[in-house]
Amino acid sequence: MSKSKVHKPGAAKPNMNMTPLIDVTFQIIIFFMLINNIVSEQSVQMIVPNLDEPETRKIEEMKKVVINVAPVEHVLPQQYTIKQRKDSPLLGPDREEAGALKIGMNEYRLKGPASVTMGEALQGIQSDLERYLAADPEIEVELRADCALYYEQVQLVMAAISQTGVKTVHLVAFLPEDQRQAN
Amino acid sequence: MAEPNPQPDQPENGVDSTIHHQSRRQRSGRQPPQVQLNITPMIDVIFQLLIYFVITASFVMDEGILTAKLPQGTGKAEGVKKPPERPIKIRLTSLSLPNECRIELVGIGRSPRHFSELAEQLAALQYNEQNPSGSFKPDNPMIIEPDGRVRWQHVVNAFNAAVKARYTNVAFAQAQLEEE
Repeated sequence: MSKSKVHKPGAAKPNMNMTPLIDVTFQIIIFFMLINNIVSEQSVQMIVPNLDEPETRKIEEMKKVVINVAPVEHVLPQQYTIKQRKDSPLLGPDREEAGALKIGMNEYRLKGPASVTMGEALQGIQSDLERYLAADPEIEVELRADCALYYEQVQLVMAAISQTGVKTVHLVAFLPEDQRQAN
Repeated sequence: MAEPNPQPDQPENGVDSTIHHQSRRQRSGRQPPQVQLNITPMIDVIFQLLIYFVITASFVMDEGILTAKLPQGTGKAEGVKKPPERPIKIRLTSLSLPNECRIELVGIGRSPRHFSELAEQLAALQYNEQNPSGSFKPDNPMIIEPDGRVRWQHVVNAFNAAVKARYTNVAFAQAQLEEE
């Protein structure tokens, strides 16, 4: 009777309290999901140019609008796996043409269902960009184009951008190797 | 007092018959079915998700920018009549292999074989304090003239070489469609 009922006889069972671990892990997951959405909501998945001795600098906070020139595989079923693409980014005949133009959240498909012609897409880009400029005349443009695209495709977009009066365009390419690790 | 009742000190023996009967019942009744949540699979999945998001997030962040100034107007250089400066023209020509393109410095020297060599040649051409024998100022107009079939990778690479050589006035020409 004098034996305590709280402390039962026998070896103590090791018990790990996992609740804080799960709490923290969920926090981290939510953080990365949000970050991922913020970064990629204007960006289309593509492989941007990988330069010899790059002079690129990190993307800083600025008032900007991202214009994407996405390859065909963005709108049509992918012919190559991500691994194949990374190993040989200029691979394949179906990548040199633009498949879609995207400005901000607005996408103009050039191939596949509900597609428009290049001319219509460029006009759409211009009118959207003019709206951005009316809201903020100092807005800067970030031009993301896939490394495998023909220059004649990207040049049409560049010409359309310059006609709206945007002065500064940032070309997106990969950062130097040593700066990639910093993130 | 301690000798007459030693039982409380030795309950583990359980030899006492009265206690023995009860303890058996109680042993089965006392241990409630242990409700244990098996969280191992959940943690597995959470870690998978975590790793996935960490990898995808860093993939996008690897990108950086090169700042370019676009020519205003139609792309034809109209306002450059007054400066007597001769623009440096970098001509890029597509070859049959997509990974390759021919680089030419129009009218100047020999053609660089790759873009680091182009950057070196451009730096050697520039007039500055370190290089008084150079013949082009850093703000000398420079035009990158790719043909339409050159991949964007090479165009940005040429632009990067110009930026690396510290030229400040770099423009892109209209795509030259080669008649073959």
